[in-house]
Amino acid sequence: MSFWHQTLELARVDLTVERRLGETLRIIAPFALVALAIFPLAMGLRLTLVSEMGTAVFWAVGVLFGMQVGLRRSSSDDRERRDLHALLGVDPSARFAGRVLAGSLLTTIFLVVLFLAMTVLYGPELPESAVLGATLAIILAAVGLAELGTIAGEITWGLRDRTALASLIVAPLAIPLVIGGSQTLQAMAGDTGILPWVLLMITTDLALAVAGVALARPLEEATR
Amino acid sequence: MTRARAFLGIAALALAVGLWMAMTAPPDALQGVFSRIINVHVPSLWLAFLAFAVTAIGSVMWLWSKRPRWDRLAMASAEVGVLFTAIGLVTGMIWGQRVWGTAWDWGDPRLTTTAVMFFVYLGYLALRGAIDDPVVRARRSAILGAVAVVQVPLVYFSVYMFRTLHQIPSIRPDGSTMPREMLMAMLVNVAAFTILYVALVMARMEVAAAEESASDAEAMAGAVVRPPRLSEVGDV
Amino acid sequence: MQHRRFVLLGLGGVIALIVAMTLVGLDQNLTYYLYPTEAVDRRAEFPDGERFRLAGIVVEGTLQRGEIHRFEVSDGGATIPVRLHNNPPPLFDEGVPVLLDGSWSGAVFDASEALIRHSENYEIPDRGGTGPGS
Repeated sequence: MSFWHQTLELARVDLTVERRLGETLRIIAPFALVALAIFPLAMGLRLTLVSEMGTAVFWAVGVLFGMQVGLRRSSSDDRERRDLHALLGVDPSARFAGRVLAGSLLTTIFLVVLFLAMTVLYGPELPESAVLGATLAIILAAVGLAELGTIAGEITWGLRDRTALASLIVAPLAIPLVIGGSQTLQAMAGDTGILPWVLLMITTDLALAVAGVALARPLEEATR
Repeated sequence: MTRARAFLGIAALALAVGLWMAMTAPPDALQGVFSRIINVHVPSLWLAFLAFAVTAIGSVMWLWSKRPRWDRLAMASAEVGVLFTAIGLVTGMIWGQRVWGTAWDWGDPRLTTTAVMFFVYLGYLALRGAIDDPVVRARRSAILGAVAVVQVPLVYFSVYMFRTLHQIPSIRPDGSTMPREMLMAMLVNVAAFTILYVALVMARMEVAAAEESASDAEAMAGAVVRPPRLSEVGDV
Repeated sequence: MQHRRFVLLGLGGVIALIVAMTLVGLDQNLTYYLYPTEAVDRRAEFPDGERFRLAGIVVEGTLQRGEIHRFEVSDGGATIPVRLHNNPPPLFDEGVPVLLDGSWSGAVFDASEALIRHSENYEIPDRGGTGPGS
């Protein structure tokens, strides 16, 4: 099986398992929506600030909870499945790529749902053209978050408290995505260029892809 | 006396000299006595950079040779690095409150990248804390340690790449912008902190080596009657 | 290492992208303050009331302290009159580089907060160092 063939197969398995377990949409998304609701409640009666902070809160919540999608249980194999993959000679980089592919799809859906909820709950002032910029930013962020979640998941595989620990390790590295994403939306609102921010996110995604591929085999050996 | 204790003694001496020089060096024209805090702030952060670089080296060397000593070095250096980063951040905040007028500034790239570096290495230590098996722990933290070091040049060069509130370094390869007395005090303190770093890392490595031989002895003696630890019956 | 070609190409790509970002002016966009010359040039981008940060040196002889502190800041190019509505930090004085948070109000900059931007230079008082320069 070629690398891409393996990748697609593994992504498909991942998505099938997620469809059955349903952790992303049934648990993570609702939790994120609750988080969205908490911010304005904490603002109290200073409601004028709510619409201004909408896009910022979207990115903060989106990145923090989006990482959890990458760490979903359906994507972490148990020991038997890992040994099977190793015996069959599955390329560890293909496992990484497959997970990232599936994760990107799920995270994109998650972020879109979150974005729509935010526009309804916060009422930010965004021009019509912002839809395109927002979509681009969401997709780029989703890929980065899936990559981060997959790498963190591998490093912390098999450990107790793995979700919090993985989030701690990875959260600082997600900051370029937060900056890139929020600045893209701000640039669309202010009608200035989005190119630097899009480039920032593409660079982050590419750097993470390189890291994921380069570390795939050492990580597989480390988690045997 | 162990080597670490000897070094700690020398470090204490050097720090005392450094402190004396810092307190007798003339204060700055604008900042007054608060300029003296750079004698702690700057050496702490320089040594933190060095410490994290050493962690990366230890990580790579462990991955290559698998000898436990490298892993102990990586761990000890990371712990000391986190300590020095914390000292640097706190002294920076004290200085900033007095000179800038604020203890922190979110827009400044150097402050943010330093904070991120701090958290990344806290994560490194948290990862190590979560793994009991020494080999598994060494493996996984070596990977993280080797990768996380990319933070260090990011912090250092952030002040050149972007427009910042934090000033560019006063001591550079092409010369310094400090009067001689202040520069001497600073350099003596850098040397003192370096000795302190070496002493702390040595001490930590000695403790770690002692811990490992203690747990080895325990495993050999009472493995049969030792109750199972939680991590062994946990998930996956 | 597996997929060595991809890793090397990827690293090259990342470096190229970083260069591209500086060329496209990412550092300028991440700039969170403007010098007076820039602020005046880009006056249209910041209508009255739109907050941004202004950095400059307090021009000698223009400082009037009071309920509202009035002074001028300059970068050697443009000079902008400022009204500061809060008390500045203790080191604030003429000839000191400051960072102001506020917005335009006509031809004046209305500032709500002032920070001191210390340079990398250190000077001993009796050697003729009256200020931090920069």
